[in-house]
Amino acid sequence: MNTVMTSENLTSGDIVINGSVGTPFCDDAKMSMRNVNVFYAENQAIHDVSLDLAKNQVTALIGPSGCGKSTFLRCINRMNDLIPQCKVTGSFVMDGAELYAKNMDPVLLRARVGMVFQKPNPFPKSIYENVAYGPKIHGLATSKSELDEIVETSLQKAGLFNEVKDRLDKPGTGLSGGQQQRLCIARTIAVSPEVILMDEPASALDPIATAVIEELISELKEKYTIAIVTHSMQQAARVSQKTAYFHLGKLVEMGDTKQIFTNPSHQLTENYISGRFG
Amino acid sequence: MFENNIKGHISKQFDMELETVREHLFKMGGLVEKQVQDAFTALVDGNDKLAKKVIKRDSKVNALELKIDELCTQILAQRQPAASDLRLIITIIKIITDLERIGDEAEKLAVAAQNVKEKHISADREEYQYFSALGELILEMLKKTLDALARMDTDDALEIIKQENEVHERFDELLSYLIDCMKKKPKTIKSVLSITWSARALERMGDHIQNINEFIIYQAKGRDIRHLDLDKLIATLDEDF
Repeated sequence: MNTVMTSENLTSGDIVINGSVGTPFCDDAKMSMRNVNVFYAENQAIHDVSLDLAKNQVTALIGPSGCGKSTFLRCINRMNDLIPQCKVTGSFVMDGAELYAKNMDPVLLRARVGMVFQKPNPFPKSIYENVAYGPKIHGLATSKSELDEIVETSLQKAGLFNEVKDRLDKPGTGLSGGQQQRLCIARTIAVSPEVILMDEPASALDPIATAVIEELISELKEKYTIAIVTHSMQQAARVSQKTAYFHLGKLVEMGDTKQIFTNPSHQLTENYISGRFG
Repeated sequence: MFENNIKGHISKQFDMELETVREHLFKMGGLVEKQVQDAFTALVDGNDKLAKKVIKRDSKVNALELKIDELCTQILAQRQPAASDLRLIITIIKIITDLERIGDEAEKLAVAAQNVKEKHISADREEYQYFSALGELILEMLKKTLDALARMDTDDALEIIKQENEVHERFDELLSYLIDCMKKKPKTIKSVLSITWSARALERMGDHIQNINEFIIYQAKGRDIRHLDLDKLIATLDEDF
């Protein structure tokens, strides 16, 4: 749809990043991104990135701060539309439909492609209302009992229901950090998304709450396609099946997580995941 | 080079921890090489004093194995190494098991040296040429292996792996000769059996040396080439070399 940009070769130290290595594409893609470029005014944040999100798998996007992984993630449900001067080119296709097509409603898109953020951000409402809010505005329930069922199912899928079932009318902000994050995941699930994007979902949590979230991610992939941005290499290794390494706005390498963490092909990937990146 | 595999981390402490493991590994490699050399000499020369030294020193080899295991466990727990660092730690943990077993085989040679009452493999006897041919091949392969390890040299590691058949050929030659001896002079059976067990110890050292070289290639190339026959192994590596 849009003009394809050919970016110049970027270098990191002596190493030239010239296209990506590995296997960024797959046969069972839920989403296919091609030749994606992102600009913030004159600054180019993403350079000609092409990759697939495999259906019912977790894809981890890793890389140093400022490498463009969060920018790329936010393009997938058009969150960058909200940023003035941000220009996105390239193709984003989900199940054959172009996400940046003129007739694509970004609000409906964000129900299909949900997002969980770094800091838990429950609405200043009750636990029940936090989860019921999305289904209400999207008209997913025709009766109170139907809405109750969506809330309960969503909280169960997020592994939170048993902990909050006796206090659904209490404020969501009164929960612990880990519970709040699971509440946000329940809120995302409530509108029956197909894809869930997670931007460092456990970075503000303690190790136990992190383990709960990671376990949840593993369960959620049975029903949803997930992309997760994380600074924790161990977390990427634990929860994902595919890993994409970004550097200076380029996709350097993508492949099976097992391979990336034991035998990466690109020197920059090797340097980053072995803690040699300066 | 091995050094290149352990340097360059943002955490200089991590570099130092890997350097400490490296120092211990090379110390263990050097000690095992000396054990094999001395045990072989003790057996050939019938040197009881040297054999005792070898037996006593085996505890030092064992202690180094325990120490390196402990250092590697600490690194796994504290650093959660990935990529080449992970392969390096796994390689070291595997290699020291083989080095320790080579040490055990050397101890067996030393025990055999103590048990014989006369110099039954001395240079003026015919079995000497067969036994020394096998022993010298093993010593040469061990030395080359330790050099390949120090340089993480996959070309050299592959060359040593290719020598496996040579070890078996020399072992078989020696065995045929010893069987002939036993047939012709049944009185020599006891002493010939002792040589047979010693030759078996040398052959097993050869197997452990092969394991070490397979792990050198795993560390450097990320390819697990264990249990492949030689043709398949070479075909697999041709994609990389």
